[in-house]
Amino acid sequence: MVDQLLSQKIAEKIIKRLGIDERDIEYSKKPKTVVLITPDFFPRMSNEVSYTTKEIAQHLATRGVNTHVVSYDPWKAGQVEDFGGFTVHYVTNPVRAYSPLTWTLTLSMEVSRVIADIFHEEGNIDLIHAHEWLSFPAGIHLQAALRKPLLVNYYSIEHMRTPGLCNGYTEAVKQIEWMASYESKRIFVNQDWLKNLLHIHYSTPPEKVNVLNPEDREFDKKIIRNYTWVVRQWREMMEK
Amino acid sequence: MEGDDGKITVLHISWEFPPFKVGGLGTHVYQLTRAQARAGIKPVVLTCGFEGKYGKEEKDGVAVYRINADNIPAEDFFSWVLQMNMLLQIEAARIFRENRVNIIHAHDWLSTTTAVALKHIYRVPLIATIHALESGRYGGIRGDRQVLIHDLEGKLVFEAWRVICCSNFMKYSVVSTFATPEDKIDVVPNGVETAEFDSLEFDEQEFKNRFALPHEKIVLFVGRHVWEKGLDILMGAVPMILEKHPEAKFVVTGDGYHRQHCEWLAKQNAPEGKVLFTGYVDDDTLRKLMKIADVIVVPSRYEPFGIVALEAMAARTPVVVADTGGLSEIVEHEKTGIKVWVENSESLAWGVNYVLDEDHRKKVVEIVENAYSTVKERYSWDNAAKLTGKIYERVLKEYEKVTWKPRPEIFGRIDMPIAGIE
Repeated sequence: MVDQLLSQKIAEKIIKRLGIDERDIEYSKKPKTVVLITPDFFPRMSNEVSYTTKEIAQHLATRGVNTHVVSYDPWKAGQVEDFGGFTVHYVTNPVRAYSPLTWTLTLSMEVSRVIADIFHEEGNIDLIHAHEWLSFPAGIHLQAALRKPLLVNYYSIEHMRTPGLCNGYTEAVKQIEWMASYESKRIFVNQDWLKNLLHIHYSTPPEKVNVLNPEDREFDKKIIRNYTWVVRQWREMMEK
Repeated sequence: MEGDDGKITVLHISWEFPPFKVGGLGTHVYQLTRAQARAGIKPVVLTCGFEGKYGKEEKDGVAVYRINADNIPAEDFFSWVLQMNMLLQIEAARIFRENRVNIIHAHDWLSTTTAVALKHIYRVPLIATIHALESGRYGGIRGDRQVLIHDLEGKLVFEAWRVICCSNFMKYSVVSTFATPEDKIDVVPNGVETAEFDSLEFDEQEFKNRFALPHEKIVLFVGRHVWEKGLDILMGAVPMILEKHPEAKFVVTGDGYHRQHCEWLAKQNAPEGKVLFTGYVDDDTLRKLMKIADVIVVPSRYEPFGIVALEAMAARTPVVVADTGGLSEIVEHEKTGIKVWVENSESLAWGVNYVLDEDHRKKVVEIVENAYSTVKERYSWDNAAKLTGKIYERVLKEYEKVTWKPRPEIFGRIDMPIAGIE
């Protein structure tokens, strides 16, 4: 009994000294292959979406997760670039759309094609993480088709981008945002108020939403913890 | 290569399917899938459902999956179509779980995004039927909406393993518009069920009374009231027909954005009560109307096929068509119908007058009989299903030889819940 307690205390001390979170050990089933979908990525765009996706991709790569980023870039379309640990696939819209909504809904077929190719070549994808509403249609479709969990990142919502405006376009974007919040298995936002807005406008359960900021000291750990939790839940659901 | 039951399973993607119909697309897919089921193919249809008619339905060997297309918010029809496709894609996941789909068969630009995405996700060959082209419908590509449709048509043609067109006219329209290789395109003419007209039993006089006086001769127009259908050309011909045949009565079925303009033209060109706009009528009424009409006119400016002409021939009613597109291929002048110049009211009036003239009565009867036997021989849906089946077999043989194959687990049958779908 004493020996047991002693060894447990020693183990706790080692874990603390090495800076390993106990939950990391618990969640040992971390994802092997992750796909991030983003409308913006470096160097074409330098904004919050591109910064966050790059941070996530880098953290995943350092943890040995096979990470693919699928990003819109008309100048690099068709290219596959190695970013030192993770791969970026560039796509462009195969048709000439006339509004952000039609652009998003037509780009999704190209995003689906690239991710399907990754799936068929790699053999598996554990998780799809879509950033901003422009990536949601492809993410929603791929979750249903590939039967892999979808996570989504909101940086803003249509209610705040066009406050008080109600027309066919805004309602369509809201519907896509709502669908993503409903279909996804986990949601990330960077601020608490956005979490509240999701709850108010899309009735998203607060426990489904995680506030994660790339500036957070434990950002990488929180990301991998959430991913691992989703993948584990998904596998358990499949086994049932 | 076939599905579990040894049959080729084909997923048809069409936004129109009865009871919801706008143009000829819905009828085409409805008749083709039924004929395919009779021919030993397993057709599955993915389409829109309206007014509460959603979900899965199986009838005559055809499984139909309808999404809830009511209340899709959109800025216009085109973005509505693309959003509807997003819902089609989700429903398709269910279809692929329940069926081992061998071929995806997409109809027109309205299903492009779904068809292309499914092709790559499941790595199943895609076949596209191009029923019409945007550049033909409006005589060119002008606004940004038209550019989008044109590009979606091009994308569908590009991604398809093989392309099916209903006429040689359409085949060469696709070749010249998208620089598609000729040998990638097959021509499969549409069909018509003559039995649907032969089996009609009704009191013709009583039925006619709903639309015209007993002594009047019905000149019937069937189609959408849109620019390419040329209803305005018929309205232009009205005075010239009435001058020679005052007993003519013009019955116009269908609806569309051109209706108001054509109603105005009718008021200008004809005495009160001589032109009747009925709006959309049900299939049964339409068939009866076609049967009792004295002449059916198809004055289209652009017509990829012209199924109305075929129906007229099956109904044993003389048909006057504009010499354009698929109509030129279906109708032989003075043998199976009367051909007139395109976009020419005088020529159209000549054609209608020719049929209504008592002097030509014997000749017209001969034309009608020729037309009926031509339809029976060449234009049946069973024939269309047979030709389409041969294309499927060819594609599947070619597909066997390529390395482009899906991972088998993607067709897994695990009945796994997906939030929001079931």
